[in-house]
Amino acid sequence: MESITLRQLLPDVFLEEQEEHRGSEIWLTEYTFRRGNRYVVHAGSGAGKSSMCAFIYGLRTDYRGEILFDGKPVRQLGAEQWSQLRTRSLAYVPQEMALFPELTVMDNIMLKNSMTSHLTEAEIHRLLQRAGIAQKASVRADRLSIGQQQRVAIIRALCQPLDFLLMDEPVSHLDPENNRLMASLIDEALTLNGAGLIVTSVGNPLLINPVTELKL
Amino acid sequence: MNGLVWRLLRKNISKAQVATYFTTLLCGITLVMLAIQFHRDASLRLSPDVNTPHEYITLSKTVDHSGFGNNGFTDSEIAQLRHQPWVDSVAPYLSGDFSVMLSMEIGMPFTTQMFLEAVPEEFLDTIPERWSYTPDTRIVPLIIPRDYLTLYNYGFASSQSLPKLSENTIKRLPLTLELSGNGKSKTYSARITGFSSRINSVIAPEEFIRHATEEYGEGTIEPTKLIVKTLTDNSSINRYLEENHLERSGEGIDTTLLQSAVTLLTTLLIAIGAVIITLSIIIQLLCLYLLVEKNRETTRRLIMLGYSPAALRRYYLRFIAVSNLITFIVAALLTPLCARLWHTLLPSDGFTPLPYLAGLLIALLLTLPIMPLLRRAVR
Repeated sequence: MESITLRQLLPDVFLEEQEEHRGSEIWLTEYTFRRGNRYVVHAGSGAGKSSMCAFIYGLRTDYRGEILFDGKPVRQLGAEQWSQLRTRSLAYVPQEMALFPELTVMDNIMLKNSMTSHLTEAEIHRLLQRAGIAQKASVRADRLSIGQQQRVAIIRALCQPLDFLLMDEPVSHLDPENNRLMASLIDEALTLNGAGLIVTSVGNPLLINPVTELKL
Repeated sequence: MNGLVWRLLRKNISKAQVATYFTTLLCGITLVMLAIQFHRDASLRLSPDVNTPHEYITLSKTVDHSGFGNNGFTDSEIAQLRHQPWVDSVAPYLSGDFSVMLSMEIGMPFTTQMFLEAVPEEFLDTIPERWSYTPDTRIVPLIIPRDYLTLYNYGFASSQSLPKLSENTIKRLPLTLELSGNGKSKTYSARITGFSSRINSVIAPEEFIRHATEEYGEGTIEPTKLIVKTLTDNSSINRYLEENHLERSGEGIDTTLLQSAVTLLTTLLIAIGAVIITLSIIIQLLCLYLLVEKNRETTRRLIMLGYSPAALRRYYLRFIAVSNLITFIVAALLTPLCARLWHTLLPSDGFTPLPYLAGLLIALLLTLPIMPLLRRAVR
């Protein structure tokens, strides 16, 4: 996938207050994200960041306007096609991480990697080591801090081939040092795959460069 | 199949619900399998033995309301019967219009009026030694129904405090036959020399009846009973008897009625089994619906990771299929054990795959109703 286009997009819940969103660079306009580029979408609370991510990732369809992958409307995609996109070209780190609390860190990651067979177990261990959570590999996810859970969710998202990496406030609970550590892991994966990045932020952005900054 | 995914999906399985489903389905499948096994065993027992395809029946005309109608068979009626496809051979019971008085002593003197008949030897199920009569014969041999002895021993003797008699004792009893008619009368010594399970009458050798008819009879009479050696086809026999107002007795039991009773019982058992299986389907669907509902968030997260709904549906489908298969295996083990209940009466003819194939088919078909539910709930 080379591009993601948002055309006249607006969540249904904003229909009554369209005027308030006229100044947005995403809502009610046309914007195309290109593969290989990196975008940070800045927004205040309640501006619809998570909604935008969920729309692009096909989790929600309560919007007006169109989303196009390489010029094709995503509303036409079926469950099987979404499944293939989510394992072969579109990765996502949701704001709530969506880890399985009863599984260990390693099992949470393997749940994704066993589908894609993208990384070896040793490579995953190295990523955990670089993220500073290798010692937590066999700890249940619900025993981790939010910051640690964010790091696990990011590593899990990297366990697949990428055209675009979609991240919803992925480092909101990380200090600058860990933010930089995760940014370097993400940077390597994006470079390796020639992938694009769309990341949202409310004030603690992922410390990655160069980026195109957008206002929601 | 991914073990981690199943670990996530199975965590909400209720053991109590699965046990209820398993038990209900087990009862239903076992009942259906037992019904089929029972039907087969009973049918084998009721159908004629292929090694002895003949049976013997005694035919007589249905007695009319007056009780005085002509119940004799004419030659043409006998000839017509002989040409029926189910008749192998036929012979009339030979009897005469002379009177017979039997006397004997069993602890006390006993005299009764009776009658004698004869049938050709080929129709007898037992032919005692010296089964013949010539004017020189000192003792007339007789065959009585084995049921008479049973009736005497377990009915009459018990109630009158008389001694029970074995077949050998009876054979030693000296009997006296007094034949009279046509203005003449004579006393003969007689012995019971055999017991028949086939013929429900007191039988003497054909030569003796001919001799007695000549001596004491006053004319010829039409035979009122015929003994028929049949080929095995109960349905056409019954149809013929009904159309010609004839009655049957003898060793050939009318198995049609029993067969109908067995079929009715089997149908009833299968119907009850089907109701229980239907109940188990409802329980299955409810359990699965609850499970899928409890797993809603897990399913959402797995789909978010890239698992396809179809792949997730396969986990549930496999779970139900394996449960049903295990249920079938237990039912298949239980069926021969339960079938022993009737095997003392109806010996089994060995293994038959039919009930097991039916059980397996039901177990596999029961995975079908969950497909639409899964398609609606996991997407």
